[in-house]
Amino acid sequence: MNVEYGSPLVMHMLVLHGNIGSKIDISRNGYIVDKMAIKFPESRYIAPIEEHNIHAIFKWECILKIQIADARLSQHAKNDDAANFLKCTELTVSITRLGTCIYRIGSKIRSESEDTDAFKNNMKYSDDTEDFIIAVCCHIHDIIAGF
Amino acid sequence: MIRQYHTGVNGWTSLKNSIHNVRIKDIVNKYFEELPKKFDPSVAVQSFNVGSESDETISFHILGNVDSRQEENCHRSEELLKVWNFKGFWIWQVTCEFGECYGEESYYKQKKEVNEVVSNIDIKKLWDKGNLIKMHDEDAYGVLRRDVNFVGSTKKTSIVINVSQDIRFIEFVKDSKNDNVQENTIPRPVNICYTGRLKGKIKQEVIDKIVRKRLLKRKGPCGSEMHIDTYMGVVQIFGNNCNFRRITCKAFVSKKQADCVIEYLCRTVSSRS
Repeated sequence: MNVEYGSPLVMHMLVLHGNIGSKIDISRNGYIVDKMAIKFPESRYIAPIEEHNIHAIFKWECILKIQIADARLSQHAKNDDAANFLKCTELTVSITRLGTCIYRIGSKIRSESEDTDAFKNNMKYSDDTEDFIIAVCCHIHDIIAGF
Repeated sequence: MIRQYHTGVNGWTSLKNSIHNVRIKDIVNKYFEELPKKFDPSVAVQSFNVGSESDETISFHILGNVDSRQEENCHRSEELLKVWNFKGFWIWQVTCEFGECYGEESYYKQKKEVNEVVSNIDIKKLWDKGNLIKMHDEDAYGVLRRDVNFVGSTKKTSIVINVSQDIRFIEFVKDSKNDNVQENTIPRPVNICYTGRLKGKIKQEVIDKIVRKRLLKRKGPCGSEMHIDTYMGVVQIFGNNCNFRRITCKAFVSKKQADCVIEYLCRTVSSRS
């Protein structure tokens, strides 16, 4: 008997790394926190813990809530399969004072339904969905780099 | 470093990373006491000269004249000025050491004043007197070869920074940290993890054979039954559960690569089953 995919691969963690190319003020009342609140009011700022981390952290509970002006980007999110997956996908961006940005995308599917239930729920994750997620991060990165 | 404070927003920004940043940081650290601590570039061009006590002159020209942060830019030129004493003239050689005219040389002559003697010459002040007459290279050539006439040299650096119009004020800040800002790069995947399932029975002897042949680890981390390192990422295969096995793929950079590895793995264990 052949061994084959019982269920296709579904992403549960995706990490991207980029740089905005300048030093940045990540303090609690600093520039990046102010600008993110203006540009992405739906994001949640997580204050750094003194002497514990040196990142400004912004979180979107659902990647679909990110305001995307680019019609080409938002088109993919209307696809049912992709939307099912994306609505359970959260994004965390952490920015260092040297302008390094870490984009961490996590799927909540695994923690909520563990193993087999996730696949019963008909979650589909395609190359296009992955490209969409990366494109959203690049879109956010362009905006942050332009701040 | 240079910190820019914008209208209507808390905090500061800094210049985008460029080939000039390290030089600007060195200049600011070296001549910090000579620089103004705070100034407003939106009113008029702000110009400062530093290095008065050294053998170089550095000029900053800062203009608040671009519409947005994206358009901010910096230009820098560095020139080495050498001067020779030749009869009734000072002969100048100007070599561009950094900037658009890099490597270009030009020559000038400057009429010597009656009471000027070489030992009293302040080269920077002499250049600033002006009245320079451009010379053809070939005219200056013979003169410049005479080392005995050489007086000295000075260096001039000019830095022009165009910043956003919405800047309220700018301050120079001493920055002794030896940290490098990386250039602007778009985000790229560095670690993607996937979960999936395999269907079909993999015989125990096949697992044993593969493990022995490829020196794989039995009983990998997280309770997995097999742990396979590939150059594209790591695959963990978990125990059989009603003819299904959970698999996790870690440290991949695309789904295409993870699929490729799993499909290869399926083919390998199928042909041995």
